[in-house]
Amino acid sequence: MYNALVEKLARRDVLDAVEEAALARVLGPAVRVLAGRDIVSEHVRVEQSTLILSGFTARYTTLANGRRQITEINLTGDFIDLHSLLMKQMDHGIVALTDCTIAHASHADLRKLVDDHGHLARLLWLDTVIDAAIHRQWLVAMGRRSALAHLCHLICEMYLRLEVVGQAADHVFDLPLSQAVLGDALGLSTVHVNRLIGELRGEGVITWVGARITVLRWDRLAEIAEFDPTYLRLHREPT
Amino acid sequence: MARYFFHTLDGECVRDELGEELPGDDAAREEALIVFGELLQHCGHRFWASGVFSVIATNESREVVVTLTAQASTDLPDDARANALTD
Repeated sequence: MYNALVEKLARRDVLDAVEEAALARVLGPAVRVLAGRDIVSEHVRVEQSTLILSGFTARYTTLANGRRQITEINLTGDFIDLHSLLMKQMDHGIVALTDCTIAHASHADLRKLVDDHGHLARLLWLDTVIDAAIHRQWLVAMGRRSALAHLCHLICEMYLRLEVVGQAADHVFDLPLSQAVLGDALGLSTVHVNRLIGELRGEGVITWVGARITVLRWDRLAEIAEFDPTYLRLHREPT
Repeated sequence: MARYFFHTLDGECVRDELGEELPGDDAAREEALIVFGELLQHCGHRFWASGVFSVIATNESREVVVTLTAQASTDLPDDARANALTD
């Protein structure tokens, strides 16, 4: 059940059997969470970190006026709050965007894991560093890219991240997120998101039917987004 | 909560079929302004071609809640204080 995480880590460096077994040992049983439920609430102190076994979640912050900004979309194989091992108190919430299956790892077990397995600790550290890189790219997109480029960047990113965990191939993938959720992730109104998707459809760059996205012209999508996947660190290199 | 629709007119009329759930007319007016600003910035090329851009917010009964319009021209607004700018 932790295979997606292993696949993702193994994309960046070789994991041996001892490390894989150690990682499996820290994870508790699978738990179902319904779409719309908070997995972690803003400002709480947590004693465990959560791995997504299936589904999509979002890191978010809510403003006093009720507006919500999503700061990262997480997917199968992501530790959604590994940083809580060190941060202790959450500075953001995490909500299930779809029905999810998750597994918890207690901070006590994670501390022992990183004490006993230095290489694995660096790989998990890398995972949180990549989260920070994703946040940087989202910040650039939010502040300086055009709305269309921002949406294209998100589509490129989601495709590559899903491909790593075997949930996207041949430029086809499922992104079961409403336009309101996309609006909260992009910092745009839903009307605008709807318009941008229509524009990409109209230019024959993508098709988007239900949750299924097919990228018909990846080069054009990446060109509009000025997409450079370096920040996802998808190559294998000693860590 | 009620559903509001935000249609646009900028040379072509784009009907909002999806709509958005909002608490009331005040929120719909706020949202209309956000949509107006975002789309005007993003669709500048079409705005310059037509010279006019409108967002029309309607409720579920198709009643207009607010219309916002931007117009590009070399005419001054009909306000005496504007005339002073070119005197």
